[in-house]
Amino acid sequence: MRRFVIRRVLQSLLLVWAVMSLTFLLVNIAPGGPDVVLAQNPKLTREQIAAIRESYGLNKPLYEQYVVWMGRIVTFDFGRSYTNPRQASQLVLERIPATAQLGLFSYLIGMLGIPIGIYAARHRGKLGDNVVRVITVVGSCMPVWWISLMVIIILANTIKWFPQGEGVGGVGPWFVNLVIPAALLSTGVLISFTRFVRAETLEVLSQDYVRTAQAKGLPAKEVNRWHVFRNSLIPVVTLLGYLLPALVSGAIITEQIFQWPGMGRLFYQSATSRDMPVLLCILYIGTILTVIGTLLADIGYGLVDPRVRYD
Amino acid sequence: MSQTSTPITATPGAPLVTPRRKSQSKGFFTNGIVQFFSSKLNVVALVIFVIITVICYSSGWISDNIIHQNRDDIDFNLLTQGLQPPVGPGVGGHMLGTDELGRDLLVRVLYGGQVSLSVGLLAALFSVLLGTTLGLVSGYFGGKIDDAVNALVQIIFNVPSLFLLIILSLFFSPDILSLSIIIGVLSWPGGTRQIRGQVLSLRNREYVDAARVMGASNFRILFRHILPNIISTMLVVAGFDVVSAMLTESGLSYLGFGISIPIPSWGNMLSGSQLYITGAPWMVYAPALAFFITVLCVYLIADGLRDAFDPRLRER
Repeated sequence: MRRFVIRRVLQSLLLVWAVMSLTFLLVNIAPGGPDVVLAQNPKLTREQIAAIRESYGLNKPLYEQYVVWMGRIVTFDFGRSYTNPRQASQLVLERIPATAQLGLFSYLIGMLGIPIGIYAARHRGKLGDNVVRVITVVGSCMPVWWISLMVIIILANTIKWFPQGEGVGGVGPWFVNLVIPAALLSTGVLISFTRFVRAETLEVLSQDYVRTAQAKGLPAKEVNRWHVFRNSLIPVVTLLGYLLPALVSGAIITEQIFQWPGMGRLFYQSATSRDMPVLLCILYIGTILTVIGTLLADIGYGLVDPRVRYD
Repeated sequence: MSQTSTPITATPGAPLVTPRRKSQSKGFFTNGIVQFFSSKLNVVALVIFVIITVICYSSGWISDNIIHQNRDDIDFNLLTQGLQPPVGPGVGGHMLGTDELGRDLLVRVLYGGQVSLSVGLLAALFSVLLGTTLGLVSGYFGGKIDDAVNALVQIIFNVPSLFLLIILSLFFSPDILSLSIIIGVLSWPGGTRQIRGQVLSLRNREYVDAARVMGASNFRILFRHILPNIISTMLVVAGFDVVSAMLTESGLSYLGFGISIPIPSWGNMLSGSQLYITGAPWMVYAPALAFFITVLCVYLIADGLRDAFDPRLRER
């Protein structure tokens, strides 16, 4: 187990390195990279361009730029923002609490999918199950921005209000402004949990040991508790990890729609102003979160399921 | 030379070669298709999808002959006339009304549909081509190639793709083709994993061994003996790829980083629509509804295909 964990951690570090290297390459060799942008600006003289290239290190060969960049990334230094005199990493770090609130909240709401999935599996083929299945199918075809738009239309045309930004003036307004975006952001996670738990529970229900337990006369409650749930919830651990990053990328859209002052909104704003240091910093954080999510999922699975052995 | 073997002397009238006995079973693929069409929901979804596709792809003809306005005129020339109060549905011959630039919404919804569908279908095509090739190769050859493909899969799985897509869109100013390629390149790993798993189990079957013993090349084995067995999986993967590509495209375009205006797509027609939700809600309803119905149809088709081709699911 220990060796497995060490190997996976090393692999994860390698992954982060690979993703960031590829991004560096893409950003620097893509058409429309820094050189083209500079050349298109008519106000800049040749000397000024040379000075700018010098100050950002663009005149050095690519591999040298790469080494310098990698060295700075390790210390979480992405350089100054293009639009703001401050450090990019500082700007991003300030926004993390807001995104964390939103993400955590919607994660909690999304976990409601676990009981819903169990319920649907236990009542398979009945009305409740069918309603759940229709909702999950329909919901899979509605992206977050689509549902949010519809909810905003309904709210704006009925109660003439919808959440915008961070509520000011105490816990109440803050909560009201948080809960609707969080619920909308959670739809994807909620649906994933519901379908996954339902399928797993159905799988376990068809196992021989469940039939044995029923045959020896255990009451349904006991069977469910000791034979079904304990086994059907094992794979959920992996999903907990895999779904973590979904919230971060979903946050771009949700935060932009509801003007929530988090990292996603900063990403949107930086993208419109082509503020590369900030964009790369957020991409870096997003990649690390994704890798950590996968890592936790793999390790957690081994901890929870005694059948899994690492050698 | 021919003392032991008796020469084949054909009795007149008898065929020289006995015709190959036709198999009683119609085959896995045909069975799956029959199964697919036996569900009413699948048929309805397929029919609606085909109708939507045909109408969207004839948007140019419809705008010329029914609206009597050129589609590209609507997109490019009317841009210059500046902001105008949007007109409601049915007013002034505009069946769905107009948008904030006075452009006919029906034409834009249809044209936008053509763009959105094209991105979905093309991206799925790229993703399936790439995913199948890599899945075939990595499953069949194993070893270093497999490791390399797995590493690539891991890298792409761990990139927060929406972030990367937005960053990339800053460099490419996406049109239909480039956006499809980017989305396709970021979405093949799921399919590769499924196909690789299947190839792993197929490559050790007796008929593959038999082909190898008879001297078939790897290329021939892959294309004649293994590929036909994974076509059903490819179809299902492609279906879900269309769904996810359309969702991705719409999200990107909604944020303003997808298909660049003035070319409409169902996503970018809705970007900035928050300004009009109380004044001119019809501007939101038409593209939003068209998008949802289309994605739902594709999803149902893909889901139906999966059920039809997966015998394990069929029993449930």
